[in-house]
Amino acid sequence: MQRRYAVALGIAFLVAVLAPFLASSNPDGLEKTAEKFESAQDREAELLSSPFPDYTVPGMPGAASEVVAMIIGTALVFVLSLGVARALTKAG
Amino acid sequence: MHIPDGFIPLSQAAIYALIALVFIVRSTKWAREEFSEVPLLATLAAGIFAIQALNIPIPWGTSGHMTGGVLAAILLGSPWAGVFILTLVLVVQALFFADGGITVLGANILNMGVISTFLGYYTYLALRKRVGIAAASFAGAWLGLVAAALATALELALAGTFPLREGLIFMGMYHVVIGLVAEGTLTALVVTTVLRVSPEILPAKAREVA
Repeated sequence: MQRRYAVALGIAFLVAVLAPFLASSNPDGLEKTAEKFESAQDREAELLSSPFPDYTVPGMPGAASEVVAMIIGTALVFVLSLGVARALTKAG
Repeated sequence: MHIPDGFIPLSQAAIYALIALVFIVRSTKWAREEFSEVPLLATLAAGIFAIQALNIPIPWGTSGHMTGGVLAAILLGSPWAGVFILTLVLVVQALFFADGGITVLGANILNMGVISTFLGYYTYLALRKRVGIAAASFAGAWLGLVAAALATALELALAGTFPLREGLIFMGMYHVVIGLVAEGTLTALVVTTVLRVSPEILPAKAREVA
């Protein structure tokens, strides 16, 4: 059982590491729609300076920056989910 | 389709956050009482975060990625799984990666975590016996994504950010295609692969194929 999870988690990290190389840099559906309307221009506001804006590590060059950001993010989601779900299961 | 800060005024964003909160609280009840495979849940959440970064190109110089709520619901056998996991993923994306705004976090959770997941999962359940798991998960995931996109367009129209009609048309058009090439295809692929390779890691409810 544990081994299956390890394999699955390995696949998740593999996707995370490959995503910066494979992902299309075209705007997504929402961004593309927003480009069409005057009413959506200049509305976007950044209220919080995030540590990894646009999935990059500030100061790190090129692809490495995106790969590291994705690894950190995937690990963060895994640990946070594990922690929250475990805390809830114990509480229940 | 992560809405950024500034696209929805605070007063409206607060309403979406309240609605989302009701669903999030109920999803924690699911995690507490109806689910015990914590490592499976965390692995799935990590995988959904990773795959959300994989933007697939579509026509019109646009791209789109899978969101994963329907996948989580099908694999773990409950729509609350989709709400719970998407909430965690969207919180990390908003706080650490500036992907989706902080003030609109509730709206993003409502669209991708709640609306997409519930509609997609119940579509899957309704179709499963008739068309099989692969086609049903494809259809559910596709419908869920399109519904989330239309809900997003409606919210942005209420916010005065998008015109109603064109907003619905463009959001719908792009996500009909993103639903085909990303959400539908990848959901069906992952569901059928997991059921073939290691069905025993899934909760009994997800394995039922009547």
